Amino acid sequence: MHELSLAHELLKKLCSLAKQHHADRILEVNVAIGPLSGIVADSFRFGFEALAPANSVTRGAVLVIDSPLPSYKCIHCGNILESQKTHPGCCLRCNRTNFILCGGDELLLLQIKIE
Amino acid sequence: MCETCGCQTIHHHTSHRRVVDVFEGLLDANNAQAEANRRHIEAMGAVAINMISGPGSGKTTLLEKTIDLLKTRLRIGVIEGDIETELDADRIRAKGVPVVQLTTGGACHLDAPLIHQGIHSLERQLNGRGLDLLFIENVGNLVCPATFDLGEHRRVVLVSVPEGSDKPTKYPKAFMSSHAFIITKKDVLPYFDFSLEKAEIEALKLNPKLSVISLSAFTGEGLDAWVSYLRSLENRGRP
Ligand SMILES: Nc1nc2c(ncn2[C@@H]2O[C@H](COP(=O)(O)OP(=O)(O)OP(=O)(O)O)[C@@H](O)[C@H]2O)c(=O)[nH]1
Ligand SMILES: [Mg+2]
Ligand SMILES: [Zn+2]
Repeated sequence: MHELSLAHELLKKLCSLAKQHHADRILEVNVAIGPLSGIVADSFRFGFEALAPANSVTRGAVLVIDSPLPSYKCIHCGNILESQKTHPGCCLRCNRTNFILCGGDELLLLQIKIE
Repeated sequence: MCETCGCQTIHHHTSHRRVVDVFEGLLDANNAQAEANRRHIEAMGAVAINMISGPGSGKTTLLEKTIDLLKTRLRIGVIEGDIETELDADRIRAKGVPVVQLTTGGACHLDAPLIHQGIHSLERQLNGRGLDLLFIENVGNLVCPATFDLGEHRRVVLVSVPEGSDKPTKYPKAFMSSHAFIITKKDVLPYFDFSLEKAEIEALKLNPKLSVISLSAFTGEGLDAWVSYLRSLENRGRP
């Protein structure tokens, strides 16, 4: 559900970016939505595609979603691990289990293509 | 004039296609308002606590008990978030503390702009009196509220015994972003297969910094630990 309100926020942002850059239309939108961001990419896309046609600036805009793999840093030895899971298990180098998240929770508007 | 789009240029449509790097957070607007809320709450002299849990985990009941225990020592205010109704705010109002009900009209979470309105309504009620603790009871939902910073100083996630000890594993985001994990309805432990140990271990795996407290608002067990947690926030001044 909160994906819809975020999609709405993004579309507002896109309209103001279009104005700022004197563009009539947004052709493509690149976002990064990490698997641990708390946002479901499919629901976000659904919200975006439902709301985008309501405005001539965003109508027809193609949404490209990049989903970076979560990465974790071992707080003991500094080793960095990538894992699809919310916890990577044991450190492959020192065998301990305490990590800090250092990627995979991003929610970013990266780039737009306009005309 | 461009024939394709009608703009005031002789070049063809495709000639003014361009790429713009933005690199901004999708939550930047919310987060900027949350930061402003935090400063606002600090200027009031208060510490804010955002309470997140699934529906019916016992947030309002715990607040009622907390107010009973702390009302004479600390000035407490509450912002209640619900999809509809004033029911929770009525329960808090009956305890004699200032309360604001925010209804999201369908949305599954509170956000920072709503809290901004809430703080202003609360200030009108306070009418110049100070505040020590501001509780924000989020909409009953263990998923969506976790994404939105409201301007709180501490985030508390609650799970009740009947919900099961697998909740941290199933709803990681709420636990990763919280400061304290409260296990509620401890009095019904004998009737469920809830493992306090497992819940704590799983939660700490996700977030080693969590303070874990188990309690029952009905019997009062564990409320002393919760009260000292709250008092430590107050004593430390602004976190
Ligand atoms: N056995 C037991 N029941 C409790 C306890 N605390 C709350 N309850 C019951 O749990 C139910 C839900 O409690 P609420 O405090 O309304 O829960 P909530 O989290 O505020 O609910 P929402 O605002 O709807 O999400 C009520 O029937 C309470 O009486 C407790 O410590 N023990
Ligand atoms: Mg409630
Ligand atoms: Zn290691």
